[in-house]
Amino acid sequence: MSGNIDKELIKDGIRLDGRKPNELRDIKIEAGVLNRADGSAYVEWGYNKVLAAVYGPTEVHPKHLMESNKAIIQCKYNMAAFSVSDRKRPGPDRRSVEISKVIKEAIDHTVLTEKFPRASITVLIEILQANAGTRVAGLTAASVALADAGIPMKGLIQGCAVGKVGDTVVLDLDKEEDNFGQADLPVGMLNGPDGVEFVLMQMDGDMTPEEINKGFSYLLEAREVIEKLQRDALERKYSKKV
Amino acid sequence: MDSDDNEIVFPGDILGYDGEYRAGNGCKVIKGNIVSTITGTKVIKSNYINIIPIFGKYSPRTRDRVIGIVVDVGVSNWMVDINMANTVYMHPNDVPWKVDFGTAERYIALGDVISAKVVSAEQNGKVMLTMKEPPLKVLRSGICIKLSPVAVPKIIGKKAGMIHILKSTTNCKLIVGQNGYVWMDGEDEDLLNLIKIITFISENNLMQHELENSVKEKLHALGYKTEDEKEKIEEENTEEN
Amino acid sequence: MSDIVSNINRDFVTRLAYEGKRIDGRKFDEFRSISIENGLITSAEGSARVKLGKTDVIAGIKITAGEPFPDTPNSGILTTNAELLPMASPSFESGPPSPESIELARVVDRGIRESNMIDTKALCITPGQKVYVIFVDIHVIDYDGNLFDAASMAAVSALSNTVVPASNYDAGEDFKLPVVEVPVSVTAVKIGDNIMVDPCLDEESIADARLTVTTDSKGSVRAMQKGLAGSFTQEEVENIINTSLLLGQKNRKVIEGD
Repeated sequence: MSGNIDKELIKDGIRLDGRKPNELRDIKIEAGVLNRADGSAYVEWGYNKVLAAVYGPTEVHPKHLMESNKAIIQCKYNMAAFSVSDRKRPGPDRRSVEISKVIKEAIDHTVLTEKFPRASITVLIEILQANAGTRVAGLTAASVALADAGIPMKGLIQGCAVGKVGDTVVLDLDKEEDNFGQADLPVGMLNGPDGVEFVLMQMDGDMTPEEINKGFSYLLEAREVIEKLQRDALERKYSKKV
Repeated sequence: MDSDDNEIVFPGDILGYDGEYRAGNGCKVIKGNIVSTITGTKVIKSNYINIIPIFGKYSPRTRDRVIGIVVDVGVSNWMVDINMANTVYMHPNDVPWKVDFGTAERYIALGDVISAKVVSAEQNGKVMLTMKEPPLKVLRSGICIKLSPVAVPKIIGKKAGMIHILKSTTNCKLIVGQNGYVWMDGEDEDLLNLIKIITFISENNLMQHELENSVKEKLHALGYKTEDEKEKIEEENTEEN
Repeated sequence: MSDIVSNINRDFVTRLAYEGKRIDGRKFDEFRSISIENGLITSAEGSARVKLGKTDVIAGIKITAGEPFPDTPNSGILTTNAELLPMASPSFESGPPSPESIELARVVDRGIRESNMIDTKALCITPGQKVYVIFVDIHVIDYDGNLFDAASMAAVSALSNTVVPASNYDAGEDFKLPVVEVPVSVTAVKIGDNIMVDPCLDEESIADARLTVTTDSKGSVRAMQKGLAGSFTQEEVENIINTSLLLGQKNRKVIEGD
């Protein structure tokens, strides 16, 4: 977050890519795209291309991680070397490790892990092409992959981010906005009988409580749009005729 | 009131109130609401809302007949893969032979395919298998393919209609485990064709009637005649004579 | 699900092989369906996705500038890496590169390098000081046998549609990476005494030996790699080489066609 206002990221309420402050980028979701994995999903979100796969429930490796009364969630978020402008060296870096952790925790809250004692559910997220918002796109894809694998959950999780550019609260930052904007607030949302819960939340930058509040209202609207896309993807997989 | 509809429900969908209905398979009560936890079709039976899953691994029930693959052999026990998270333990008391200590391998070897029955399935994931009832046995020829348990009702069909068509036209033996593992045996050509057709059935989501027609078409294309066609030809031959 | 092949399945595939048949109905010298999608990753300088039957591989090309090797001061640098992603198979684990992933990268690299597919002299910016460094990153996302051919096809297709970002390095206009040859690998496995190409996972799991032969458009062999614990006779090797030349030509047309 440099907060460097070299570029005019927003002018007269229109962002660099033509979007209004509360507009999402184009999103496409497909379920069941891989053959070996128990569940999988592919998401195109703006210029992001994300693949998620689930294996589970399976035996726990290494054995010492096993829990006698529930399944453990193992999660790995990884960026492909070719996913960014400056090639990323293969292998986990500190950022990937942190993202893997917060996504795992979101999934742990949502999956009914007590149904599979002594088992493991592995969630793998691969970023093939990155353009900001990869962790929330990854979480969104992972949720569909879990449903595709038939893993019981409290609900589908929708990931999305809000932020601030040019002193304006905006929804779904793209790469330019993330690099040169003033704040970034990615979340994971789970809808339930009592309303929406946040199962993932991070923030960096500079936002007032009122701005955050406005951001939340954008996120709640976006959540419904994203959930519909997830459901449609699963329905299309189900009605697939070969 | 019992009902079923073909609408798909998703994890998180609110299907009714606890009290008005009861939470059955694939449902959970959250703050007094009956919520779906999986993707599937909704069936209401005796006031229980059940979701029939359209994705997922095997969920064992007592008396299910399953096909298993032996992945480990102990001194007098076996570990069997039946498409669950963990492999399942089979005890020497649950097989039709008297197994002396250290001789388990002689009766059922690593890599063997067996037909077995679920004796008990507990909440904590512990499953007990038996091979003691005939016709359960070690399957020593043929081939075993691994499908999803979701495909099982499609391959068996309403009133076992589909499995009957498959067996009678291809002349193959066929056992469909409730766990999604399928065993078949017959002439090599017939087996190869049967694998193709069963894979087609498991990968498609057609309505029962459409599916049966598609399968019959595919069987024709492969040169088979179904039972009723064979009967018809016999009739015509007898008439001519 | 574990990955043990059951005894009866092993017997079935072996018996079919003796009868000249394969489990998916193919002939011994027949490849599965091949689909190639080029340029799908726009963050990369070149990319391709290859589906060989159900095996699915994505290759991405990234180019930076760097110092040349001291013994080749006027040549660009090519380096290949392969990731066997855990999502591709329950038998692929996370962690440092496995011997399998290293072997895969090196064999694919060998085919490209030994066939002189890329004119590395054309990748010189300032002799002795600055050259282009080409990174070939192979990502296996779904595994159903024969990674060598799928990965090789993906890498070669990706390189064939790569644009060198010269403008980023004040070295003039961007230009298409000059490709002067198209190496194609053909992998065969031996089951009993029977040899068949493009093994699916069921075949690869029970094969005794495996041979990958990479050939160029002029009929020369540029790289070979034998794998698995079994062996080949001289006659078998010669036959496989001939088959690889023929099928290599066929598959080359598929790669160039896109």
